[in-house]
Amino acid sequence: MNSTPDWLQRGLWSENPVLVHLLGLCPLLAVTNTVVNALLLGAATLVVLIATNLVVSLLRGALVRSVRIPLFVLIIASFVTSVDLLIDAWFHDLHVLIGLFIPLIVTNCTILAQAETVASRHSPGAALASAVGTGAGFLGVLIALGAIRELLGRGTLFSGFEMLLGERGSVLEINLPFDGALAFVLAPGAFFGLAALLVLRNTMIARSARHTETTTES
Amino acid sequence: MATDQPSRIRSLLLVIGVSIGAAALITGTYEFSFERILANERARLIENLSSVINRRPDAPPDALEIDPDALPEDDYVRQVFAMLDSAGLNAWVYSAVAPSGYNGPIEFLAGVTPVGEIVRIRVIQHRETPGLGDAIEDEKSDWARQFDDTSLGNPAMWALESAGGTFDGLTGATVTPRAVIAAIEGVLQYHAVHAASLSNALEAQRQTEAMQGE
Repeated sequence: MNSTPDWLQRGLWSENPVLVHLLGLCPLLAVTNTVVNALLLGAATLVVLIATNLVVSLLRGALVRSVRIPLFVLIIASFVTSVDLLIDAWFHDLHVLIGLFIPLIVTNCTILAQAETVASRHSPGAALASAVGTGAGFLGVLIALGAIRELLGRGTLFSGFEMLLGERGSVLEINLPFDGALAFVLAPGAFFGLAALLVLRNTMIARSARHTETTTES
Repeated sequence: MATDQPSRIRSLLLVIGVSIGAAALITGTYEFSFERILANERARLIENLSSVINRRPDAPPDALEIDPDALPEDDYVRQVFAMLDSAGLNAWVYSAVAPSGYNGPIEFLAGVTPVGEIVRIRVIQHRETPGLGDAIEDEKSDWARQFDDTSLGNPAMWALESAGGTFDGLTGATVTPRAVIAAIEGVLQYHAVHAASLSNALEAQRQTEAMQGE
């Protein structure tokens, strides 16, 4: 019924957690002021999502309805705590910047929704495909928003990658000949950027729908 | 997903099982990463403290916090660090607070040489007005650099120029610079009174450490 490409496609596009369900907005808006921050938080969310979906799917035969939600939260919180510790140990400079938001991954409804609607009802393979699709969809929007805000807000792109990759990461930084508008670094810029992405997606869908209509009519 | 009577026992076993698994996962990750985390935090602290002292070339400084229980009570000084390198005591770093900033306390670090001269001060946290009082930050202006190489008695008068002293104020902000100047003078007075006992405390701590190291 649901093939792997189908699961991936849903998470990335047709059921994208941010652009369609508007979930996980708190971390999304808070950390997307640069690409590197967005990348790290998006990757952390992806890892937690994959681990949670796999574990929940493997446990699905043993799950009891009345205690399933607390169990999901417990599983999610343990993975988030572990990821938080690992980031603190290996990417300490970035952890100082966005460490406040890593524990908030627990409250990202996307992960709980995936555990409840997909992982607890499907095989590990399908749960994994869905987690990869949804996590990548979330990560993609985060990076896009991070790029928009960093570009317009600071006039740089990919700055701070040395915190992720060591010294050689700094060669990635692109400096543009303008300083950027502070508003894009601050919270309003996050809303402008998200709105722009929503408009873009809805326009694309409207266009393709019109296209299908005309082709079926002709 | 049954809901009948035996499911209570099943729920219990399930919750216990998952909890044990979760605890094992977190304990394992913690054991695996805590040494690195501690080392990172220490490196960051030393980096921070070193920003207000003069490093001797080729002698990376180490920081030793004076036991807070051994510190005399003070209005300004909160923590004292001895910055040590291969040549011995390089400087003291005082982590201090100017309590009467315009919008609450202003936290700063002051590097002071053993003879009581300021190396540098750096404001690390404040809530002063953006565009006015926030010029005390290194990122915003050079204002904080006018305290380099000052000491008690140099200048004779620790006050703003407008109050008969020698320090520059900030346009549109009077309370902020006054609070910072008073607090730096307070740190220097603390140093003048307590430097000897701090040295003793440092010596005692180093001896204890050396004994533990053996």
